[in-house]
Amino acid sequence: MDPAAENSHEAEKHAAAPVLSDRYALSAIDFVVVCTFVAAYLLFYYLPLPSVGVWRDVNVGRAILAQASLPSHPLQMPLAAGTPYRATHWLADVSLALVDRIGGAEAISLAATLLAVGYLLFVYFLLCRGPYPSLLKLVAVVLSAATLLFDWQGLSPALASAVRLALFLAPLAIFTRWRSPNGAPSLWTWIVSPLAIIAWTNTHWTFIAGPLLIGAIACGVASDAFRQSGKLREACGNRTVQAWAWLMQLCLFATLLNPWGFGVWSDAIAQIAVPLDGSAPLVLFSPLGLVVALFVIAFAYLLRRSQVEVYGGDVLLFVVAAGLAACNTHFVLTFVAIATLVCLPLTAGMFSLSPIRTKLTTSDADQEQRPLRFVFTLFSLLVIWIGFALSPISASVLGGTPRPLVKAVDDPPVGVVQYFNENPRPRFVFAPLVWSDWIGYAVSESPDLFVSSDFERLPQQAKFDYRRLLRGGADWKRVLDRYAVDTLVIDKRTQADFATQALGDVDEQWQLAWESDRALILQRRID
Amino acid sequence: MPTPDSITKRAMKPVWFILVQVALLATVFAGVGWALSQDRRQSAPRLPSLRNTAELVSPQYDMPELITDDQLRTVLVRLRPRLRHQQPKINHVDHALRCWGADAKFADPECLSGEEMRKMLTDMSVFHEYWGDASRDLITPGEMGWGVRTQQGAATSSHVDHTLATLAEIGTPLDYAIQSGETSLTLRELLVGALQDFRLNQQEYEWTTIAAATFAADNSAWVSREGERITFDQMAQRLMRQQAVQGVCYGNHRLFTLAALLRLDEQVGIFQDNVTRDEIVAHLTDATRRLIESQNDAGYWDQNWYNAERDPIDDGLADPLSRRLLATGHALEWWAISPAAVQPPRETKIRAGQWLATEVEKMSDDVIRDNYTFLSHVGRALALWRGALPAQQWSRLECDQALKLATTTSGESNASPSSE
Repeated sequence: MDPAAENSHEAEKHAAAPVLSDRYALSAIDFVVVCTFVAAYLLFYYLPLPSVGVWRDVNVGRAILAQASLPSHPLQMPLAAGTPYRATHWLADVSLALVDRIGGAEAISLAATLLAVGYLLFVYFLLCRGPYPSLLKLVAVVLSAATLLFDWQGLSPALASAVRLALFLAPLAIFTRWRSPNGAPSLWTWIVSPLAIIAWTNTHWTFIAGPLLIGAIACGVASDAFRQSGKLREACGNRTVQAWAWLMQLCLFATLLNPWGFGVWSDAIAQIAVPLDGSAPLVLFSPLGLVVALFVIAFAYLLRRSQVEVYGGDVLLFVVAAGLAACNTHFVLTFVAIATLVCLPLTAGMFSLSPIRTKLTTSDADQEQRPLRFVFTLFSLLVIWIGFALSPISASVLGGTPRPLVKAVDDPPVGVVQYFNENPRPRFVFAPLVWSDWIGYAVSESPDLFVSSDFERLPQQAKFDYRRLLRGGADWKRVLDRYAVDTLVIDKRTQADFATQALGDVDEQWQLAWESDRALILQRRID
Repeated sequence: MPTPDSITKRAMKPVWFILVQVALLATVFAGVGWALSQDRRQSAPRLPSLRNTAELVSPQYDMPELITDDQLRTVLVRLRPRLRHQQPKINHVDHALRCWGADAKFADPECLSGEEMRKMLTDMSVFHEYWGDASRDLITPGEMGWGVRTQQGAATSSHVDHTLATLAEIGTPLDYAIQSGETSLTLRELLVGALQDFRLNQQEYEWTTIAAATFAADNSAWVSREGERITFDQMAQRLMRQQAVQGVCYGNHRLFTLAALLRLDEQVGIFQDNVTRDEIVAHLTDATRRLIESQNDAGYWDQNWYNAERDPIDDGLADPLSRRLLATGHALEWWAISPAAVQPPRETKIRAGQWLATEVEKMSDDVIRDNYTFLSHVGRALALWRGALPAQQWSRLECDQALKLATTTSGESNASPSSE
């Protein structure tokens, strides 16, 4: 061969060689994963924030920041002033208030989306860490996304607790030391787990899952040690067992680093016994119940068919997480994470080699087609760009009309709030619960509210009267008199009869202050 | 990366390990258990600290210009409790007992003594002597304990816990025996039943407040059946919550209860927060201001006492005289127990007192009977403004003799608060 031509050919080959290494060459399944994440991003971003819950939490956060102290009773709800209350979500509430300070409802929407997608990335890259088929990982991500979706409350303390859960599980998922012989917790687990527990304790009452899960691992490791030695004494003397037990104790005592000490445990147990936040025990025939059932069936199948060793730590982790999920739906996210962590390793050997492995064994034919191998990478980048361009945040970068508030929040009473802001005065407002939190959040005078999403903390009589007043009734004025309510907001769509009756009852005492197609405001004349 | 072995270098002896683990877990469990029990105790229904003797709110002013001895004698004679007949309205007995007290005695055979009235309300065998065996007991067991039947006809009390408050205000001790059928109980059980049934947001709460405050031993809080922690400060806030005219008797019972709470706080110390006193004084001062502005030239007030620009409206009381007796008598009554800081000018009270004395004097028996409940407040208010309770004034002014003389002269008495 002509050396010159040979050199020219070599130069051409060199020029055509990609600059990026093979690890950036995504496969078709990787492309599907990217598409899934982009779809999740758009889904969570376009999912309207609920008009209840999150806005009450923002208000609590604002109050904490303004007064540098924790509230001792539910904010803006004077009727609940005599009932016991601990602002145990204070860390989440303060974070929310800070996000709100940056960009209001839109910033909260974006933060909720990033948090949800970030959690899904955590599931994919950390919980599903290992040589598992991408399809299985994708299933885990989809089930986690479904769990978030079915219980979607926006950037609530419950969602914020997902960050703490992820932080807590990360070192466990990375090192999985309980599966190793003599596998004491890693140093990172010793450092990160207690810190995550402290943050979790001050964020949401689901923190109790943390120490219980570590306790489950400790018991599992102890049972493994007992199975091996057949002697309880030896199992208890096992250094690994003791290390996990000490970690559990550390996590337990870390939960006491909060403003109420043991009080947060009391609150958490009370929430499980009688939930005050709208959560409930798991119902099997519900979307969340089906997710849990799916994992339980999968776990049972894997226990029977798996070719790998089953560890006590895994079994007990699963059992404890399932028990917690059965107690309250807020634990389902924890359960799904634990189930993913536990089930995936049990699939080893049951499926063909994962595409990742295949990808690593590059053949000559692949080498020849190398330029084509970046097609999915480019498509993935394109999908990410499209996702960004379609999302509301792109308006601030690419230009365009920002998303209106009514798209970001589910049915906010914009007109009512506008009227209150244009006519400021101290108020005690009776409004439907679905509007009350937003009114408390968006009205600059921070009016007192008959109800907020702390509804369950109201005295029985007030709850009874609230339900009665929603329907109107002949003595609605008398009931409002008793509570000294001076502003009545009626949702015309859900309280059509009451709206008609109230308009007919307008007199010298109660006057129509404002009306639109959706709502009307009646105001009491103050003598 | 640092090895975790450095952290768990050596294993503890199993026995020690188990002991330490158990001790630590026990600490945590004990702590959680303690927190749970604390929370449960905090939200479990609990009663205020009570003492056996009632703390009385005694008269504190003597204004002869408001009503002279002669006028007061006439008023008291006309309002004497001529209730010795079959089926006297319990509402009237209740009000008469509150006005006259348990020590009242009358020479007039048509009148019930204070003790007789108290017995009628607290001993169901006596109650049935007047109301017959067909009537249900006035005092009956309920879901939350013993209670007085209310707003179920003439044989029952007119307002929630009104009878209880009456018994408290006249100084009945908590160990006072009550007989209901075969069951013997005490006033304490009646009060406990009322407090266990009490909700801060209920429709009528003024008399429960008075009863609880009269027997309160200190300013400790209690917990309602709804799990709500209640203090007398909150009760006061509740009383001040509504607009001026809202509540029973055009809101006057709220004002009276607030004034009574101020006095009981002075005597026993029932408020936890000193600010509450200031808020009550401000509230009562505002009520006084409204009353001064709305007083009629004749000296009375009407339903529109809170704002004279509004028309007086009361669907239940069409007769203007009834409304005026109600509004004027109640106002003078709560002023009589209020501190000097909230008092109106002397002329305001004198005009009101003189209007009442004149009206009562010229009233027919029928009008007195129809308005007896309101007039019982009038009689009590006028007696208080002369520095003593009506029964004490009755003795001081020798009303029995005056009545006897008047009966002898005219051949019959001209006043009858009969409810027949």
